[in-house]
Amino acid sequence: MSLSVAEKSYLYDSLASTPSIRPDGRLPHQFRPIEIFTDFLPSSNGSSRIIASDGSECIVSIKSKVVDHHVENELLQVDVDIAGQRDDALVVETITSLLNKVLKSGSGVDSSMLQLTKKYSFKIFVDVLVISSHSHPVSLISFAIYSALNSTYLPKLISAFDDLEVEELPTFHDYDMVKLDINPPLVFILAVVGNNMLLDPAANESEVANNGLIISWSNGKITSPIRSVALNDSNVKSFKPHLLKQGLAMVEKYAPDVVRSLENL
Amino acid sequence: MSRLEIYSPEGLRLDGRRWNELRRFESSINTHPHAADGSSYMEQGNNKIITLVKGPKEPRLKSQMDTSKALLNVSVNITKFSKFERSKSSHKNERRVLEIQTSLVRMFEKNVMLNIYPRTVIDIEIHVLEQDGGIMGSLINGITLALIDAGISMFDYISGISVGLYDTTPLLDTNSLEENAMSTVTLGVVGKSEKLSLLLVEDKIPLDRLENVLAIGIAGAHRVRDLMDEELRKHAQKRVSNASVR
Repeated sequence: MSLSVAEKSYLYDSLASTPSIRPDGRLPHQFRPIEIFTDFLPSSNGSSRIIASDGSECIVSIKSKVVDHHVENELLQVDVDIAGQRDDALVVETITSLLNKVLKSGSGVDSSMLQLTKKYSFKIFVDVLVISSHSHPVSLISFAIYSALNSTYLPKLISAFDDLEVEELPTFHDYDMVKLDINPPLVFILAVVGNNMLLDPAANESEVANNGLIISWSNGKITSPIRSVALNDSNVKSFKPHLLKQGLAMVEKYAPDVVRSLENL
Repeated sequence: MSRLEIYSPEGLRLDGRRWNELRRFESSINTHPHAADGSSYMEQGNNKIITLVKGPKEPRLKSQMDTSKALLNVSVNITKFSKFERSKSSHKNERRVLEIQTSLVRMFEKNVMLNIYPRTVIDIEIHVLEQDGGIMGSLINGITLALIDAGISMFDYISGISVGLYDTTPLLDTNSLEENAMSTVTLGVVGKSEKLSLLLVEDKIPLDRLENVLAIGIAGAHRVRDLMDEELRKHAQKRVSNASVR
């Protein structure tokens, strides 16, 4: 999206005023409407498709594989593909590494839920395909991952848990599946405009934002990574530390509502 | 040799179809109105394909411009999760994908009236979310629908279909299990004619059987064309009725 100088300055002034006036009339903490569909890929263990009101769209597939967890210790792997971007593009790599960090077992996701036997675990592959995005897609992606993981069903183990003594490979029930029970983290993105913080900035708001904040949320509290991100390349400035606090408070206040609405899907 | 009974003596295939039956065919257009000028989503059996057409638009580089006609680009993104077993590599720049792209470009260059859009490019972006055999045919159908949605002038529909040859029996619209077990041919048929704009033969096939295979393939492609046409007309009707309400 390209705005003229006059448009930018008008938009900036209205966003930076107190209270801030957003072009679509949203409150600072209000999200744009999203649509989520789940479970539409029969060859994946879980899948979701999320569409934002501006037409940004993201598809997530969850696939699983049985691995020896003594050999492979990373049991969750995120792969991001953004249409029109090369695999080694900067945006793609930063988002991939951020999401991998967010979902890293231990801090983000409880990897004991993926353990099958004393030797084997499920490894979860999260494949993200961003078909179109107009603003920074990381928050949309994390919502899609959240709903995909929450609609994931894995095969049910019928062999013994203790397989260290007996050399036996895990065997699964023919058709019974077990719902994956992990609490996936969420990522929120905020725009800093003047002294105001805005959740879920739209494309035009990102264009004039002074800075952006990426805040992760897991198990009812804010977790690392917390990062600042440049939402455009013309207007970026530093921001005062109290704004960070204000942003964290905002996420703390409204994240439970987001989690609840995603849960009720 | 696979142990599966590809075609039973009673004349039934693995998924219960007869030799001349198509898989479930569902399509819709204008599925991504914000992201592209023309878009389609289609499911042919378990193939699930999103096609986006962007253009005709100004080329990003002046060097890409042709003063006499539009430039057609096709990029096929076969996702890592598209098959039952997840693939480790992304299929970009894979030889097979590049070949698919080139043959799609060559096909549609002949069918789209590129001469009426000089100095522009038309980008076609395809995402294969799931594949289950006969992917090339589905790609063709997806592109045809998306181009129509974009309002780009074409001479006629092109409908794609794959036909396998099991011993002496041609099997219409093969799925991946059948595709692995026998030779298949992919056809791109122009409209309701018997003109082929694509004949893709990747395996050996006896020449004296080809006529049978082509005959059932063309009949199947005509049926696919009718199904696409039906969907387009339904969509258009809905749009017209919505417009008149306002």
